[in-house]
Amino acid sequence: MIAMIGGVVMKIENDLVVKASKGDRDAFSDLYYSCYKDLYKFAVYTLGDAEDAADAVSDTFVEIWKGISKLRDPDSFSSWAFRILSTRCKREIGNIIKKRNIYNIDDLIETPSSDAGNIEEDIAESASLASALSKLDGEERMIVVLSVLHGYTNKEIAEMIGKPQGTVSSKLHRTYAKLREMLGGENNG
Amino acid sequence: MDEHENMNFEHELSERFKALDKNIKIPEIPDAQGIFEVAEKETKVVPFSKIKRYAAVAAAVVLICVSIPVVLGSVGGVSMDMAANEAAEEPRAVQNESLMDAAFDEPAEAFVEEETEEPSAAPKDGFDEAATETVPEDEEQQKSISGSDGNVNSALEEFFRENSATASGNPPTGGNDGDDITSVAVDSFGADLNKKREIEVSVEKDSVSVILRDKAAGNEVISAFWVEGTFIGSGEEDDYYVINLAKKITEEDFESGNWLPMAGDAEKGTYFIDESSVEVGKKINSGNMNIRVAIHIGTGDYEITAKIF
Repeated sequence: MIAMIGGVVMKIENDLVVKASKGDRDAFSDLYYSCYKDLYKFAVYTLGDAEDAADAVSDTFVEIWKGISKLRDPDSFSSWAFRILSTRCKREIGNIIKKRNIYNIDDLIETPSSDAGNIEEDIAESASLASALSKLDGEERMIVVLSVLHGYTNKEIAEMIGKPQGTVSSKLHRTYAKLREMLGGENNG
Repeated sequence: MDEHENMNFEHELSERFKALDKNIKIPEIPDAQGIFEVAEKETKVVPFSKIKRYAAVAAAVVLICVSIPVVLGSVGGVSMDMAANEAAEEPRAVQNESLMDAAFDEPAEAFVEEETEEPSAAPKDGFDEAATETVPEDEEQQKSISGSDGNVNSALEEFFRENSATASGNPPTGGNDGDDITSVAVDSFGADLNKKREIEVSVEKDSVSVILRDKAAGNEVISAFWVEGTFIGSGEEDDYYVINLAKKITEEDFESGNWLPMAGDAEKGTYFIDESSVEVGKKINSGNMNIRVAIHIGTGDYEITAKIF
């Protein structure tokens, strides 16, 4: 059975989770390859650095492998994985502030293929969203990505990032307002 | 901004995110084998904790070695050789004792205090009365030093040998991990600590997640970790923020060797707490464990200790 966790992106086969939890390395490898991209993208949105994102995801999978035997509900695999990753990212955000690294997601966008429609417009839209994201703080990025892109509810996000649900709701609301101002203003102007 | 505009914007944002998402460069995915290798390597690092465990056992042995002549001396005198040995060992013994104190005295105090403050918490969460039985600290401490052989495993083995029939009915893991609990409760605390720190404790059914932030540095996360266990209570203690949890050790967990509470953070990853951090009395009566997490508000360093009843 294929479970559509969050309703949008991450597809997880429960069967793989069950097998991996019993120590099946092949199943875990399949699981790894099937959800690496989604976790990597989440880390990229949050951290804005390809190397940091890749490190955070690799560390997350090490944790997943070490802890998966304790996972009782295969359906919760996706949110559990995001939770581990968000903890990693939070720590990494702290390091980024210390190192004064610059969030630069623009460098991580690739040129769309020629059959992707209006390339220039596509690039410009992506770049403007990336630019807007760079002006948010790490937690706001996490929340908005989990909500808008992955379709998680505020309650689910609260559990993943270890925040009260009310805080997530208000942060999401404020983040929408910020993005609307940054993106909407652009469209209107 | 009305609701309709909001919905339109959310839809537009979703579409833009999807477009951006398609254009994010994905690096070559590292070979999954690397994950297993790193995990194995990290597991092999565990001997460091074993070294700590051995060191703690060695410290306990030194303590016992020193205690015996002291006890003998108080009962029937002591030879000059023993007295000389005792004198020679004393500084080390005192040092070790202070280490042991740091590990055991304070937690024991907190457990007693917490149990007194919230007597109904543990039974409500599925613990039997024995879990909340208050044992005078001195008495329990005395039992631990004079009565325990220092081997938590053998004490648990004895407990499960004697209580096999009843223990088999226990839930698989965690104190309140019954099937009837389907939702995850989230609670939080936003107390300002030292006016520069903010700590959040998210309580879930069989674990807590903790995030300590530096408010003076743009809410920088200075410590983030989680610990397995059923939340009992928490509060400030001088420079520490202390969280008390409970966990029931099942026979199944014990036999699988996975009975120690799990914890995790960014540096150590997911790990079982060190056995040397677990205190056990002369005899285990219930297989329940109280877990104490002490987070230093200034540094974010944390220590997890546990006590089995």
